[in-house]
Amino acid sequence: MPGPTMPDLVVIGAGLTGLFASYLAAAKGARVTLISFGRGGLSLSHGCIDARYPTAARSIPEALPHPIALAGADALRAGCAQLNNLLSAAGVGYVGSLDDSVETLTPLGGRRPTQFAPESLVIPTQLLDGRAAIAGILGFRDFMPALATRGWQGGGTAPACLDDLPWPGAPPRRDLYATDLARRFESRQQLASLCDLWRPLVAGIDCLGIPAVLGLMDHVRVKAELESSLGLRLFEIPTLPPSVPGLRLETALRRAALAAGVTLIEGARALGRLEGNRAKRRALGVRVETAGGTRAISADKTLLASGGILNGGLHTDHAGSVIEATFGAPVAAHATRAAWVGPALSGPHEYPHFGVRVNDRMQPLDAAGELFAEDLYAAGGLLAGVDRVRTTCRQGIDLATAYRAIEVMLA
Amino acid sequence: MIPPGLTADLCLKCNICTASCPVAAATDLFPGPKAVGPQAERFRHPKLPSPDASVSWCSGCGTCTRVCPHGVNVAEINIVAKARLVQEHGAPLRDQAISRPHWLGALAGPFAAIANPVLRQRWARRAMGAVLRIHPDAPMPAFQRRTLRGRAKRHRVRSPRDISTSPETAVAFFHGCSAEYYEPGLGLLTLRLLEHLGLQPVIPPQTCCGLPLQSNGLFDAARAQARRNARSLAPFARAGIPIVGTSTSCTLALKHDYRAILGLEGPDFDEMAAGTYDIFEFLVYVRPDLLHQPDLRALPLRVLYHPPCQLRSHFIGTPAVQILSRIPGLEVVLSEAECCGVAGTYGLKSEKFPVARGVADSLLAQIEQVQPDLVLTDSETCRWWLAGLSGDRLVHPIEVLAASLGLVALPGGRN
Repeated sequence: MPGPTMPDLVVIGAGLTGLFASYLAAAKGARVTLISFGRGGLSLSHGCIDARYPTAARSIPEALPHPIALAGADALRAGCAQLNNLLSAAGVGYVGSLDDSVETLTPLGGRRPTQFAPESLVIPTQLLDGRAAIAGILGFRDFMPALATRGWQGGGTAPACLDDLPWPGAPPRRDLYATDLARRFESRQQLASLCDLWRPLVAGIDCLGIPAVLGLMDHVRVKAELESSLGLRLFEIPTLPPSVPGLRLETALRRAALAAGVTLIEGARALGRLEGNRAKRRALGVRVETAGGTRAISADKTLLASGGILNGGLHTDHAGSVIEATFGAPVAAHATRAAWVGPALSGPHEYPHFGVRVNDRMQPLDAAGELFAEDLYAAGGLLAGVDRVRTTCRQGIDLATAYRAIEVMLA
Repeated sequence: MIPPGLTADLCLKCNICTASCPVAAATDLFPGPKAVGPQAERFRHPKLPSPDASVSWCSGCGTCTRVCPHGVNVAEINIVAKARLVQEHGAPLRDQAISRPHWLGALAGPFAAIANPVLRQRWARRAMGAVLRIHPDAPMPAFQRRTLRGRAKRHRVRSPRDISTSPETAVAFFHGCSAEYYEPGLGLLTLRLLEHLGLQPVIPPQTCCGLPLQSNGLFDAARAQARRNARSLAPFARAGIPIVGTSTSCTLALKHDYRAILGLEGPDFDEMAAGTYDIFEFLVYVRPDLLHQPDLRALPLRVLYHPPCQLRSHFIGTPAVQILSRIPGLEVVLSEAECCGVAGTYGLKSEKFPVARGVADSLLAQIEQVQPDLVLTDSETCRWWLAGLSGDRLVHPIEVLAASLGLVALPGGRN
């Protein structure tokens, strides 16, 4: 039940930032409506929380503070702690800490440091000590073990590359997706016959890396059962999308948000502020496009968590103008298109740094440095100054800025 | 409206739709919405036969379009592609029959006293399975002797001109086939509830929304019904009278499918779409002033609410939950399933039943785990399907609201 003094919030975007912010606000008693045009992109992610951040952001074109510096180190710490609590309650065990890193194996055979990772993805110490191997699964084309073993950069000797492990029963009638395999692993009956089938194929192996498909939300049990039945140590390696570790993170967040009372409106495109109040510089909520027509969702405060230039939060045109896609908030960006890209196709480029400029209360600013709208806030990939593909703190930005925004919005 | 096929080029191959598709999760006969939709669309030449029939496993639940973050009308592409297969190969007699629930209801209703007991017999269902290929285990609704329109004559109007009171209090009820022929009690209760809230509900002329015809690929017949409905309903929308329905698939047809799938255009369709509301959407967004907290009596119940896939495609969230969460004592648990499986008429078909049953598994498991006093869902086909499979009592959420307002006792509840 929303408290009488709690504000009504609208959150736009259901990626890590929007889901986490909605959960935080609803858990504190606010009435939250979460608007999402399509489903957020967590199923495209490796599911880890990268949170190692540099001191300064890139100048676009003028110097900008780093989003985590704006949100504050406390917000990053509190955000990570809240997320870890949520995940352990959901049975999706993460390990790691902000002060250290854990390592996962990339599908190309590299070591990837991160701050928090699903326990099942962390490289076991046995990988280098013992007889190790990496294997794919027959009929699953979104993971190639040879890419990891041939491109090995994990130190020591590369693990062996096994033939694709078969699945019991009739061969599938189409290519399998990671989600198909994850569902099959959760079936206790299939797991038993699978162990009988795999045991001779993995004889003599101490540590086996397989694609990250060991169950959607029940992978902790599945992994333990497989390890004890096969007598080896297993670990998961991320796959092409749909990425099951990302889906686990999304499912845990979505369940927590809905259980806390968030109203989720999926499929509706956010169009802009409510009519008639332009002069007062307030959004008053958001107009959304539904199947029948436009509906107005009024709110005391609105949080933009719609993502960056690759995620729909920013709108660009052929003439080179860049603008925030829903409310038209100004964007820190280079004015000419020629300055958007660097000399090499593979980067680095300037455009991934474009985004909305905010103050330390996560409120978008206009060109003069004034508040763009009194009741508007922004968090996550929408914020200026960081190339989210290349940075080492992508999820850290999302968690810290979401935490800070909700802290301010509910204060 | 952009023809759905043209949105295929927006596809980034991100597989978000594949990960969410309830049918691909239940069977490897279906390659998944991305594969048969935006990906296969480039192989469909307007003048050449369809290259592949695997899209026919699509149930049309619409999840893929709703979850697409890039504006691809995946479900619409697939429903149109399915209809092309029907044009090329023809529709079996079964599909012709089950896509006309209004004819079945009108024909068999007067003989309900005989038809219902016969259809409960195993031999009768086996015969239907053998002759029509309707699966013997697929739950079916019972026929009713009297229709809603027959029992609610005083609410019937021909046009907005027949309405005596001010347009601000008038509401046009789109009952669809279910409330007209199969669940007239639900229709009567809805009319009572609207009156109780101080409105004047009227029943305008209407026919089946045509969605079953559309889902079975019979687009021309569906368009004929869509045009009839637009002709009679658009004047109500134009007069500012909201068109309200309790069947979430019918209201979706009026809002979206006529224009986006059947390709119908014109002001009648636009105005009807803009003026149509699910009944809970109406109570949340159009008339939030009608429900007063002190009037809501406590219902000490735990209910599991399944928002039908067709309701989710309205892109309005779950307004029933917003209303029901105001009822003191009522605990609402949300279903985690994208779809119950039946998807209108899909689950009735012998060849599709095992797939639909597989889709239902996760929801049935959640019902088993939550052990609710009641299972709620807005769409009649979901209710009939889930009631048949689970043996539980299924109710429309409007019945729970009516109970809280003291209009009716809730069947099966603890109160």
